[in-house]
This record gives sequence, structure tokens and C-alpha cells, in this order.
Amino acid sequence: MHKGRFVGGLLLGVLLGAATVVGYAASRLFAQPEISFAEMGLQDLEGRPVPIAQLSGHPVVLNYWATWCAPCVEELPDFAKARAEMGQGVLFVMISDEPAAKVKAFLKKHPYPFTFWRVRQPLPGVMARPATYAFNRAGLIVEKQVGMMSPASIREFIEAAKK
Amino acid sequence: MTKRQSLLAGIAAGFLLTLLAAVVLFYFFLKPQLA
Repeated sequence: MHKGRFVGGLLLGVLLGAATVVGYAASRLFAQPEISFAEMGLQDLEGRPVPIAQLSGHPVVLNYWATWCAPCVEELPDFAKARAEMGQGVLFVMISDEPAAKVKAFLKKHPYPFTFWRVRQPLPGVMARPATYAFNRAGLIVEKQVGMMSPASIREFIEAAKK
Repeated sequence: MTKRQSLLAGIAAGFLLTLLAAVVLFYFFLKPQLA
């Protein structure tokens, strides 16, 4: 056994391993599986299940957020602005897995004009938020993004949902 | 053991140790926080 070579190899192996772990974690973190309304298990803030029919036929911009998620809260004014400017006929649905009371308390302080709903569990496979989806009238996902949205991308999502 | 074999053994050991450390770290420290 050549000790020097082994130690050198060990360091190289640790580097390779670290790169593998970081790469895998990043790929999981930014994963955003396509998920249908039915799979989300949507509820309103009173705990009533939301009938999917309520969404069908409408362009929908859906944002997975939480009151504790700083970038999520930060991007809400941009959504409100885009909605006012070009969001006519588009449903803006904000979903969180937090208790409804938390969302209601947030809305008292910040009365945004969106539809706020709950999901009972974190969205499966979505590791980071904000995560935004655009659904067209047929309920198909036409755009998706994990991470904060720029005002330009919010507009793109609205356009895509309307098409 | 040749120099080359020592190097390869080191790389393999380092790689596996790092993966093991990541798994242990995830299951014992990160996962309870995520849940």
C-alpha cells in the first residue's frame, strides 16, 4: 500500500462524492413534477374540498407558497400587479400546506386579491417553493418554475395560460 | 499493491465514505427537520 497515493485518492474520492451529492440534491431541489389539480387535494380555507370543476375551463396561474417563505411573500406584489394589468379571466390560486388560520392571519394583514387555498400535504416531489404553474383552459400545465418569478415571467405564465 | 491500485482504492474509499456521510447526515439531521 502506497500511503501517499491512497490519501491522495481518498481526497479525490471525497471531492467526487461531494460533487455527486451536491448534484443529486440540486436536481431534487429544483424538481417540479407535473401534478394535476386532483392530485393536489385542494381545500378552501374552511377545509372544504374544492371541486375540480371549479377550475376547468379557466386559465389558472397556481403558486405554491407559504407565509414563512420569504421569496414567496416577496413575489406576491408582482403577481398582484400583473393580475391587475393583464390577468382578466385568469384564476390566481395560491396554495399552501400550512394551517388555514396562518393563511387567514396573513391575509388580514395583506389582503391580496387571489384565491387562497390549502393542500393537506406538501406537494409530492416539489422540494422548494415558491413553485409556480400555469394551466391552460384544458387543465394542462403549459409553464412551470421553481423559485422566485420575475415580473416578466409572471406575464409569460399568464399569456401561456390564456392561450 | 501498486501505486495505481492504492490511488484507486483511495478514490473508492473516499467516494463511498462521502456518500455514506451524506446519507447519515440526511436521515439523522435533515429529514427530522423537513418532516
